[in-house]
Amino acid sequence: MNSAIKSYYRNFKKQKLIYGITIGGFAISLAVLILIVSFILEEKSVDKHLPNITNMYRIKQANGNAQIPKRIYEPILSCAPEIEKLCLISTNETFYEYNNEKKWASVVSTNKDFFEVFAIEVIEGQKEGLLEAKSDVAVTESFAKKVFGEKNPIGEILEFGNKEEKVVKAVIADPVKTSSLKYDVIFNLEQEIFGSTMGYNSESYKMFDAIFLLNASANYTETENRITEILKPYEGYKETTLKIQPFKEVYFDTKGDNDEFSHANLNMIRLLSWVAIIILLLAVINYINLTTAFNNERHKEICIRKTSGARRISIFSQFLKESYISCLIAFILAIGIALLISPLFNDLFGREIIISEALHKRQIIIAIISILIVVGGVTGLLPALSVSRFNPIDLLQRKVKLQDSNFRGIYNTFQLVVTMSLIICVLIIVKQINYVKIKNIGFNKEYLLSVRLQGKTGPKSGVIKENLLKYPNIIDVSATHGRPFGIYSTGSGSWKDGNIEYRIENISHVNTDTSFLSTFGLELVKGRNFRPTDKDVCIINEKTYNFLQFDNLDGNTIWGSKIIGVVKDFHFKKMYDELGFIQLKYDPGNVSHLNIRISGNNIPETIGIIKKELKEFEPGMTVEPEFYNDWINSMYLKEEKQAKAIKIYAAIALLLSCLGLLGLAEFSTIKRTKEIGIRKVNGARISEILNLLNSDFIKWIAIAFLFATPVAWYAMDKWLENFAYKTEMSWWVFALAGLSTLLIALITTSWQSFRAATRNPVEALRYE
Amino acid sequence: MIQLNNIYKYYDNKFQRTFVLKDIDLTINEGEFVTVMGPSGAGKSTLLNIIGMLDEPSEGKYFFLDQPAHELKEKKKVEFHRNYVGFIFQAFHLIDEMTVYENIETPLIYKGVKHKDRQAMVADMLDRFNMVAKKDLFPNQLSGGQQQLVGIARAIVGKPKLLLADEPTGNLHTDQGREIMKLLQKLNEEGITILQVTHNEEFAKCGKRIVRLVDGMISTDEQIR
Repeated sequence: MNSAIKSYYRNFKKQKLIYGITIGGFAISLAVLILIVSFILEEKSVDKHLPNITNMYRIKQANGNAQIPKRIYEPILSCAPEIEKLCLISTNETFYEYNNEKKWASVVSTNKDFFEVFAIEVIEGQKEGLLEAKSDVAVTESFAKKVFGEKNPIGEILEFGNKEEKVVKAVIADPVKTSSLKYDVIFNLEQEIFGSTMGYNSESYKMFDAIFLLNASANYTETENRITEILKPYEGYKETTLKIQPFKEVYFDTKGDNDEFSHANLNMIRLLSWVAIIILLLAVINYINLTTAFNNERHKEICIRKTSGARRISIFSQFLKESYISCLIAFILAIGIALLISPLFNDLFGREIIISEALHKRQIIIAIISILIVVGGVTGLLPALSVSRFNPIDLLQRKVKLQDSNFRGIYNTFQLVVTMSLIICVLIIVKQINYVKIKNIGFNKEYLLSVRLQGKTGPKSGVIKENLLKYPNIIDVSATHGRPFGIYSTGSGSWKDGNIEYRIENISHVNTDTSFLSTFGLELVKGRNFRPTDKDVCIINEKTYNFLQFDNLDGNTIWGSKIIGVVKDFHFKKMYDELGFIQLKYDPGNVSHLNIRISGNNIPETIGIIKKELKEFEPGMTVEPEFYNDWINSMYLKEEKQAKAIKIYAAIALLLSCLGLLGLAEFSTIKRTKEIGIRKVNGARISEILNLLNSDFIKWIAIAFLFATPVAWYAMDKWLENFAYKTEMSWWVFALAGLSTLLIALITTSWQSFRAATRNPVEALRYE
Repeated sequence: MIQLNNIYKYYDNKFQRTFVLKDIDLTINEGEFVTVMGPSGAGKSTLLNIIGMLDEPSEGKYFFLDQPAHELKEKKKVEFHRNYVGFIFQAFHLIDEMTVYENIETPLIYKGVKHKDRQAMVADMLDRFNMVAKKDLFPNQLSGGQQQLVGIARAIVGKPKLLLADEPTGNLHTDQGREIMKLLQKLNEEGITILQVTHNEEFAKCGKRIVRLVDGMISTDEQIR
C-alpha cells in the first residue's frame, strides 16, 4: 500500500492539473448528489417521526377537499367508535402582544385530542385537561424562550388579535424539522380571533382538517361508508362521498392545496430525482473517461514494470489502489464542497439541508460507498485491463495504438446533449417568466399598492379611505374583499332567472366599492358604475357577459344580484389559466384589502403616510403596503425556482462536459502527436492544425445539437402547457444555446489544441 | 545556398551547459549531395533540424539562399517548409490514417496547389516510383522500402530545392537501402540539393561530400567526387 501511495503521489505531482480537474469534477458532482439525495430523503421522512403515524388518518372528500366544518365533528365521532381520538386543526397567522410589543405567531387552533393524536410532549406545566378552557394556550419551547426569556412562562398572559387574553398553561416541544404542521402556539378552536382579524366573522368560513387515530383492528372502508352515510342529512353533504386518507400520504397530496399542512413540491422532487440520476451518470462516466484518457500516458511505465517481472495481478492491484485513493480524495472533497454550497440550495429546496445530519443517514452512506466502490473499481480495472493485455515488447516499441476514441466521442456527445438541452430549457423558462411578467394584464399595475386590513382597520375602511384621499400623492383608493391575483372566493353553480337556468363554473367574486374601476384604471363597456345607494348589485367582465349570452343588462342577475355593468376584461389570476369569469359585488362593508393608487412622486413618504393613517385605527398593524407589480411578479416564484434549479444543473452539466471535452482533447492530441508533427514538417500552419483538431469537436457539438433540439423542444412544449399564455419557442433560443456551448467548448479545448499545434515537431518525431 | 557561421547549440541545466553543436561553420552550394556522418550523439540530427528550421541554433548565423534564417518569423518558416525543403525520416513518418495517395498529396494541400494540378503531380510521383497500383493502400499495408518510397515521394512532390534525409535507410534492408540511395542520387542529378545523415559507410559514399561530426564539432570535411 505504501508504494501505491508513493506512486500515486508522484503521478499526482507530475500531472497536478489533470488530477485536479478529474477529481475536482467528480467531487463537485458527488457533492450535488449528496445534497439532492439528502433533500429527497428528508422530504420522504416528513411526518414519519410521529409515533402514531400508521394509525393516523384524515377525512377527505372524494373530490379532494379535505376541509370540514366544525358542525360535523360530533356526528362523525358518534357513528364511529373505532375512531379513538379525533382532532380538528386550523392554522393561522395572528399577532400577539406582550410587554407592549406586537409580533406574529403561527397558531394551530384545535381541541384537546390534538396532543394525543400528534403525541406532543408537554415539557412544562399542565399535562392533563389542556385546552379545556377557551383561554388556554400551549406554546412551544422556542416560542416561550423568544417571548418570555428566562421567565417561567406558565401562567403568563398573552394578548392575541383583538384584545383576547390567553393564559399560557403549558410549554410543549417544538415541531420537528420534518413535520408538515408548523406552529408556535396551540389554541382552543372555540375562540374568535381569526374572524375578527380577517375582517369577516361567520361560521361557514371556519374550516378544519380532521385528523384521527383509528383503532388498528378497524375496517377501513367500513368506517368510510359509515361516515358518508351519517353525514347525508347535513347541508352540503348530501351528494358527497367521504374518504379516509392515511396521514402519511398527506404531505405528498398536493391536490388539496388549501388544507392546513405544508406539502411537498412534487414537481421539484421529480425534477431533482431525474437530475440526480443524470448527474450521477454524467459524473461517473466523466470520471472514468478522464482517468482512462490520462492513464494512457502511463503505458510506458506499466510495460517497464512488466518487463521487470510484474504479474497481471500486481498491475491490477496497483491501478485499483490508485483509483481508490482518487475516489477517497474525491469523497472527502465532496463533503467539503457540500458543506460549502448547501446554503445555495436552501432557497431552492425550501428547507435547510444540514450535511452533518445527512451523513448520519444510513441510506446516504450506503449510496455513497457503493458509488465509490463501483466507480473506483471501474476506473481502476478499465485501464488495467487494456494495459495488462499487451505484450510489453509491443508497448515499449510503441506499436500499440491508443484505443479508438469512439466511446469518448459518443459519451461526450451525450454530455453535450444534456448540457444543451438544459441551457435551452433555462432560456425558455426565463423567457416565459419574463413574458408573463410584462404581458399586458388589462389594468395599470404601476404605482398601485395594496395593504391587508387588520384588526380594527377592516370595519373602518370607509373612514381610512377618506383620510388617505386628503393627501395629494394619493390619487385613488378602493377597498376590496380579495383582490386581483389574490382572489378569496370562487364559486360554481346554477341559478334561475325567470325561465332560463344559467350555469357557470369557477367564477371569482370580489367585493368592492364605487372607486374600484377608477383605482385600477378599468373601463366599463356597458352599463354603469356602482353608486353608494346600491344594494345587491354587481358588475361582471366581458367574458362572463358573453359566456352567459346576455343581450343586454335589463334585469339580468347572477345568484340574485343585479348586473348593472360590464367591465372590459382584465387578468386577475396567474397566467397558468385563461382569463376567467369575475363578478364584482358592491359590498364596501365587508372588505379585506385597501388598494391605493399613488403618484410617482416621493413614494417612501407616501407609503409612510399610508402606514401612519392605518396605525391610527390599529396600532398593531404590521403588514406593509405592497406594490402590485412586485406581488404579481412574485406569483412566478415556483417557475423561478425551477429555472434556478435547472440553471445549477446546466452549470454542472456544462462543467462536466467541459472536463469531458478536455479529456477528449488531451486524448486526441496525444493520439495525433505524430500526425501533427508530420503535418507541420510538411508545411501546415498553426491555424491549419487548430482547424484540424477543432473540426472534430465542432462535429460532435453539431451532432449533439441535432439531438438536443428536439429533446428540449419536447420538454419545454410540455412545460408550457401549464400556461394559458405562452411565449414563443423562437429559433434564436436554440441557436443561442448551440453557439454558446460551441464557444465554451472551443475555449476549453483550444488551450490543449494550441499546445499541441505549437509544439516543436522535432520532439514529436525524435523518438521512435 | 546554405551558409552556417559559428553555430552553437546547447542546453542549460541547473549547473552546467551541455553542448550539442560547437562552432559549426559549413557552406553547402546548390546541387551538392552532402553526407553527415558521426557517432551517436555527435549532433548530426540537431544540425539537420537546424538546417531544416525545425530547431533553432543557440548562437550563430544561418543564411539560406542569402536570407538570414535565424531571424525568420514563424510564418516565414512555414513558407520555407512549403516551398524549399522536403524531409525524409528514418521512421518514414507517414500518417497512418491516410492512404498512399493522400499522404503524398498532403504538402501540396498546404502549399495551396489546385485540386486538378495536385492530381497530376501526385499521379506523376506514383508513376515515377511504380506505385500506381498501391495508391489506395494504407502505410501499414506496405513494406518498409515501399513506405520510404512514399516518404520520398511526399518530400519531393512539392519540388523542393533542398532534401533533408535523416537516416533514410536506417530502418531498411541493405537491398532496399541501395534502391533508396540510387533514387537519391538520381534526384541529385536532376538538381535537388541533398543533405543526408547516415551511419552506413557504403551509403555515405553515394554522396559527393562527407562531413564528419565528433562531439558537436566538424572533424573532417572531404569532397569525394
